[in-house]
Amino acid sequence: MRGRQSWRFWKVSLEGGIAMLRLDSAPRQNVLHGKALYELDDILQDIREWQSIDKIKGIVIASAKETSFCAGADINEIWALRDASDEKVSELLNRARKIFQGLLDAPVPTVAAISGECLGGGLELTLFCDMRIASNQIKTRFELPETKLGVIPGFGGTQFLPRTVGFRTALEMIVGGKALDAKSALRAGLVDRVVEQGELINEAKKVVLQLASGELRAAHSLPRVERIPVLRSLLRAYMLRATKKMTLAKTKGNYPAFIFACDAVANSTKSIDRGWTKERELFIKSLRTSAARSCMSIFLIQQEARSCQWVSETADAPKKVGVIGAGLMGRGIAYVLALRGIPVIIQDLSAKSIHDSLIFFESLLKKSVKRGKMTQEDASRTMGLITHKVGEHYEEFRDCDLVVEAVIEDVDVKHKVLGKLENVVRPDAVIATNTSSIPLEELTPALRDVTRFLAMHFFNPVHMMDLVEMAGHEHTSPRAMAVALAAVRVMRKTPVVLDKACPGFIVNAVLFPYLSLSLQALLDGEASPDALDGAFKKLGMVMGPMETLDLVGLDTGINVLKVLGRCYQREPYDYSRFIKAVGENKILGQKTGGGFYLYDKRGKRVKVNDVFLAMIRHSKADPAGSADADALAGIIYEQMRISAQKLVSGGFCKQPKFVDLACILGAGVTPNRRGLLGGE
Amino acid sequence: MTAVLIDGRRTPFFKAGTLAGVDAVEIGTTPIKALLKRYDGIEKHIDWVVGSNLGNGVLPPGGSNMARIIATLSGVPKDIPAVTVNINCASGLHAAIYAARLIELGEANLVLVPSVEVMSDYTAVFGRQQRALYEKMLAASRIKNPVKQMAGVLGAQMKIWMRGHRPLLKKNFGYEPIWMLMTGLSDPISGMGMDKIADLIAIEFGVSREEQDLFAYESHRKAEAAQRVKKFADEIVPFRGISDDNGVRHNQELSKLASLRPLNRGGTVTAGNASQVSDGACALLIASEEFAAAHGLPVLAEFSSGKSSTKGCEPSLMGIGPVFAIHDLLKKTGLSLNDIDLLESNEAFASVVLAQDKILSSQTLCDRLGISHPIGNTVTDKLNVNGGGIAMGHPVAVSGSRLVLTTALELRRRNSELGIVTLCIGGGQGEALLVERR
Repeated sequence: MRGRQSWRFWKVSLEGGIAMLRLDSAPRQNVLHGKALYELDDILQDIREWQSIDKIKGIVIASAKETSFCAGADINEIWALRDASDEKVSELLNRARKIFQGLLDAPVPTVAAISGECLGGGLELTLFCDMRIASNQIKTRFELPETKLGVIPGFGGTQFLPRTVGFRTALEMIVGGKALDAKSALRAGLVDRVVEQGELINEAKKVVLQLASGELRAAHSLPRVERIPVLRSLLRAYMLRATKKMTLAKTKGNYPAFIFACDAVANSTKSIDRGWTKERELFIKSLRTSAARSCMSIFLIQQEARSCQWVSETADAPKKVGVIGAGLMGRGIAYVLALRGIPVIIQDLSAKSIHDSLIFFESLLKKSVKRGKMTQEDASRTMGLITHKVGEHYEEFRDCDLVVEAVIEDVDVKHKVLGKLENVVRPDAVIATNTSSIPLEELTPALRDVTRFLAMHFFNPVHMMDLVEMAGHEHTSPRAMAVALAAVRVMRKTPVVLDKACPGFIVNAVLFPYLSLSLQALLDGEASPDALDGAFKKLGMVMGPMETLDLVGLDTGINVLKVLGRCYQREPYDYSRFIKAVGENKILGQKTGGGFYLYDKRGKRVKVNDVFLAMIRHSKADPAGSADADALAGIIYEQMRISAQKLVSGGFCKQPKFVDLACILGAGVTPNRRGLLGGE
Repeated sequence: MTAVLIDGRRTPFFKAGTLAGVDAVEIGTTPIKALLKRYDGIEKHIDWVVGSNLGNGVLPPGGSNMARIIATLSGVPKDIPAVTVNINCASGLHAAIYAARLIELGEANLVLVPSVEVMSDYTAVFGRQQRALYEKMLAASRIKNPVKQMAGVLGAQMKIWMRGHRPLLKKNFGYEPIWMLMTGLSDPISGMGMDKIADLIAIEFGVSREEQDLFAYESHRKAEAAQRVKKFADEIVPFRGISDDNGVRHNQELSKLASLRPLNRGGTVTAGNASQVSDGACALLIASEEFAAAHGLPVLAEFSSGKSSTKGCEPSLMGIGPVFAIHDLLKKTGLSLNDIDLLESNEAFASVVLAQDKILSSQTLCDRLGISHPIGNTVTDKLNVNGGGIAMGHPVAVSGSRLVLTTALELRRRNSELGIVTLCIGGGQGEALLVERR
């Protein structure tokens, strides 16, 4: 404590014989980057040297921020290691291990006081403390998200988490990516106590003093079954096998990190030294996989898309936003805005739409409250931010900074709405349309001032989908785009701004060949739906084409095929039989309980809908499909790639990485290959 | 002479049954006493008492003319005459118009308008035929000879039993007494319950369940907002320590309203989008302009019987009465709906208020009902700005007075000029009154 009085990333103080280490390494979220870690080493060194003179009785590790304990390691640092030699990575991991070992072997008791998110490396850091105390605030969350980035935890998480909470929870967290809140962490034994936010530091101090005086002893709390020697090994073997099998079925082997994580956890039964060495080996191995490269690359591209300045101007987030049309999209947009604290006014001609939207908001908020993501007061406040209007009360939009139009996809209706809207809104208000299929140029004649007009294309369900495609026409002002972008940022969505609008924007332009060619193959009897879906999933698509059509609804699908077919269809194809079958039998996909597949009442897929297939197939060829589905998927995938390349070469979105990002976030197009175009 | 509203007070509205053993006299005298206390010595100047009440005093002969009872018990001199008016749901409003008329005619300078309704206290009665049955029982029980008595009782019981089980006669001869609440809430002419009529209106004028629920939800939200900023503190006298309408549900969820079962099979009216059965009381002081000036009394608003309208309509469509009344009132006064700053339409049922809106804004519906021209939407931001009967409750004879008071106070709060109070009336009428503030 005498060595250096001020540290850069840690706020260190001596409070009543307790060394308080408060992490403060980044402006908004704490990140455990290399420098912060090395600094921790120095601090621990200091404590060891001066402990007897300072009469330090214990160490409490906390955060200087209330809502973020530590968001984990710095992804940029891991990303920089992708091409480093094995020795270099090994050396770095060894150095980190020594620091953590230092914490483990600290001469005085250590306690972690956790409030807010505690992810990845941050969680691993707390595992080396004698005890963990969490605050019961809503933001407190424990998660190991490394596998989602294609790597495995590298700071000893795969070794120490199973030792702390047992195999089951460890596998769920490391392989399954399960997040725990304070209460479930207490139940799982990950933390030893949960207290009120205001009590956290005092409790931590109390506990560390009790540990120092021997009143209290740190105890690991393995689940009871895992304490019985013979049963334990049997159970662990079974759990490992089951987890591996399940993950393989889910990922089709496209993401090896999950398997590596299983292996690493399996090694936690060995000595710590051996386990740690194995973890290091597996970490390096996972780092070398293409899935890790693409996952991390996507993560960084997404961060870039979120933070980069797309246009030359900046603007404040809108103070009030209007949404016209309370359909699926409109209500979703309004909900997310209100959730982020922006007053919204939502209008629809039909009382039923407004009624259903309000129930939609209520049920989502209720779910959040029930899951402990939000307090009842916050839910009431959110509800209070939404004003609804039935009918045409455009004057209500006069003080909005941004108005999003999400009425039905009909040029005439949109013309009328936009015209009436422009008469009442402020001259500097931005008007956005949520269409992707109607070209902006067809809508601009409705407006006098076209510079304020642009497109914001959200994805359904809005509260879950991260992507917003945005595009202006040639006269859209940078300020208008900046206002819309600010809104998207407040909504915590990822914007992708097109350089030039094209029909369907990026996602639909790429999905068009995917869905239409797959459908054609199906109608021609070349493949069965499950074979097609399976083949595409093997390629890395999150959803197969037939599943996608069933989910969005066959009627919507037909509509999209018609609208986009005008621009992208190269060879005419006769869908009439299919359209007729859909229309006459009201087979519309999952919402009616059947489409290409049959679904049970809970929406779970039961089997292929053979009756419907017989109705729509053109020739009565081989019903099981004659062509090789994998080869077929490869050909269609190539067509998608060509479409994506055309978007880049046509100047619609000049940066290939953003085309990929949009496809991955909007349609789940092969995240393991970093989208269609790849590269870095 | 012009009638002006000096002031008014009301008790909170209580959902029926929430107050144990509440008596119409007890609750009815509360606002009067508060008013008389506020304007000390004013009781000496009262010339007339025109009150309103439907179901409490009138039926038992001992309690007829409720206005007289509560006024006298509140300290109004005994020589002041009192009358209780009854025009069903709009009685409170009608009493105010009646009072204005007395002043305009020069018969009075200061009129007290008390109204009270304790719907929890509505009685149940036995009809003449039912009584006849039970009389036989009584007679048989008086027979001295035990054998004959047994035979008599058995015979009487047999008769009751048989009549009670003959479906055609069950209505008049059954054991069930006639519940005054049910009788009060049904239309004697068409024989339908008010809920049934509200359902009919919803079907007739195309009001959907969603619209009704949304309207009810709004009513609760507006009332909740008004309660939170203590808007009603000017008008409410606490009763038994309670100072807010207890029917208003805070954090009302629309999904809860949507999940309620309709009152009638296949209908759209539910307990959630209909007004609540409530207890409450209200008292207004109405004086001539000259009297108010001479005694230095404040003037809250003014109105005249000439600027009011009462119209009849088809009894089985009682909820659309206000359509005719509003239309007539606007014609009389030469105003348009745009000139009006506030519109208070009693929320007997959401479907009723919404149907009024549909009729008054549609040419075809106006033609069908023989109204000369549509006047525009009534369900706007000006309607029931602080919620209405769905949230606060609808103690039948009191609602009219409450609406007059609420409108006058809200006009003062907003510093605006014109308000219309309107109520639909069971039995097929509608009444509207223009409340002015200068």
